[in-house]
Amino acid sequence: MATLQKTGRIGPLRMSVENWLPFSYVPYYLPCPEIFNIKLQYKGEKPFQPVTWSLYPQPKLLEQGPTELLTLTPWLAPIVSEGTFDPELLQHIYQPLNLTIGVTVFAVGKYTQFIKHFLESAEQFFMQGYRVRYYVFTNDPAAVPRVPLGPGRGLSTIPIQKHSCWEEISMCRMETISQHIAKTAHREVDYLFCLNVDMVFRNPWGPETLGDLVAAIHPGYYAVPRQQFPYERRHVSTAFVADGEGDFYYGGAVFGGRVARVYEFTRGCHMAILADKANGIMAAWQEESHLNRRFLLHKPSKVLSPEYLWDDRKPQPPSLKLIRFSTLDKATGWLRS
Amino acid sequence: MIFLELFLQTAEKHFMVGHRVTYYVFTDRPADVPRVPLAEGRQLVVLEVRNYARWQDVSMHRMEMISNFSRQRFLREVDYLVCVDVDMKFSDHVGVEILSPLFGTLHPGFYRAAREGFTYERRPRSQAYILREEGDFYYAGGFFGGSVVEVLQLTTACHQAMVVDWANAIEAVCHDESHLNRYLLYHKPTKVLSPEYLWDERMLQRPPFLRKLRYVAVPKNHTEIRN
Repeated sequence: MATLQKTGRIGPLRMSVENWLPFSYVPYYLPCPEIFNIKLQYKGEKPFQPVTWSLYPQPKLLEQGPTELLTLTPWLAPIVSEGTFDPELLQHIYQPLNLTIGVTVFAVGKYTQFIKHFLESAEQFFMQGYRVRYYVFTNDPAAVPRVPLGPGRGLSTIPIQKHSCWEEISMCRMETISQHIAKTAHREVDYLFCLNVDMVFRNPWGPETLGDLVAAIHPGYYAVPRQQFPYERRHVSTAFVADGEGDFYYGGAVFGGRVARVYEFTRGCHMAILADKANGIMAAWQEESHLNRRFLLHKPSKVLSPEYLWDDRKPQPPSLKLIRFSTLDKATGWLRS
Repeated sequence: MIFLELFLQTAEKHFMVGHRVTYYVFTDRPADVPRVPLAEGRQLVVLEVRNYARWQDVSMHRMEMISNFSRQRFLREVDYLVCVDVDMKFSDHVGVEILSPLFGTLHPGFYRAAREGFTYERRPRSQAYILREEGDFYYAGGFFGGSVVEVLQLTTACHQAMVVDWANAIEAVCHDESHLNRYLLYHKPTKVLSPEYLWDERMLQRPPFLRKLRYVAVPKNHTEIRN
């Protein structure tokens, strides 16, 4: 556990970030929000509820499923794709739990133009039938469009500072999310997804995505050997991943899980980003590099196939049966509608 | 009791090696519990319980005993609870890959069967009743477990169901296993162990997909032991 002094102290500090990377600081004043030491009261653990009676085909041990994709990671986390689950059965299991699912999106500067499409498509496809809370972080609350939301679904606009360059915006998302969880979200939602706003839902995204800690495979690297993953390769960075390491290259545009786990995750990434900042380095893909480093050491309990994070500029391969969430084709898509 | 020594010896070699383990041995003859040397961090606790005339009653009262002791002790003493039959031995690695909030094991005799062929309790009068159109797998009564909280819930529910059945003068066809299967149908396990984790070499021909046999039945004379 990282231990930061409550007041910025000038003087050489020995600090270890999350137990895995000890290094010493050159004197540097770091902002130390109180949240680092708060103990949060979460919405409450739900005990297992009985499944209501429903009919569905018998699962057969000896039958290989229709999916061509890997369905289980080496650490026994399910890899979710079309064909690996029965949506109706899952609905029966999850609906009675009365869950609230949170979503964070950042829409700063010109990115406010994507909110409308994001929300409209989410209203159509994201967690249908569940309570949903959208958290829209923006520097321009007036630019957040009024999108009609279904019953049990609400939106909060949270004002944030605009930064000079988009890298900065990207890097402070982890901090913002963790602070927001500590302040608000931990009381309001059970699960939290952190999504990019310049995307749309194209097909159902349901409770099959719920898990303790959830990552999504980046659409550009799912068929690529690990040596070619765009990990941060400079040793001095806290996001460094060595050549022989790596499970998947996860996309920074989608991650989530139980709100407590997302809090730990974003806090951990934020600390690592701070440490890099102190050493004057910014990871190759900013937040995404840190996210990947963290998921290597704190393995996700569930992995979403590229169905859940697709790039519309790429042709859809036959192995991916259903694209559910993908980049809005910025050149044409939003202009047309 | 004759099985316990072999069970413990093989468990010491294969079960959760390197982790802290407490064996809870339920017996009516504590003096006869064999002294088996245990590795560092592992201990054996003997829990004295009453015997029953019928082997079916012994089997069914397991749920009651586990539920009682879970409440009294296990919740405070261990993180996960694994409930296994003693007339077995470990023959290969059984480790943390099995751990999960709630897990069941596929019964080696039914992994190929259609659900209509599962030996679920089929009489509607019983609390363990399952319809022919229902059922995911047929789970074995001899290997289940999970977090203590979940195991407590499972064993309590099964015991209560059995009490209702006894009051209605009915006994489920496969005893505690029937009630276990009913519970796991409606409270789906978070992890399922393949038949590698419970096998009987004499009764079944080993299929090619079964790459390891980890926990296997020890040959015994049923009539001799059950009386």
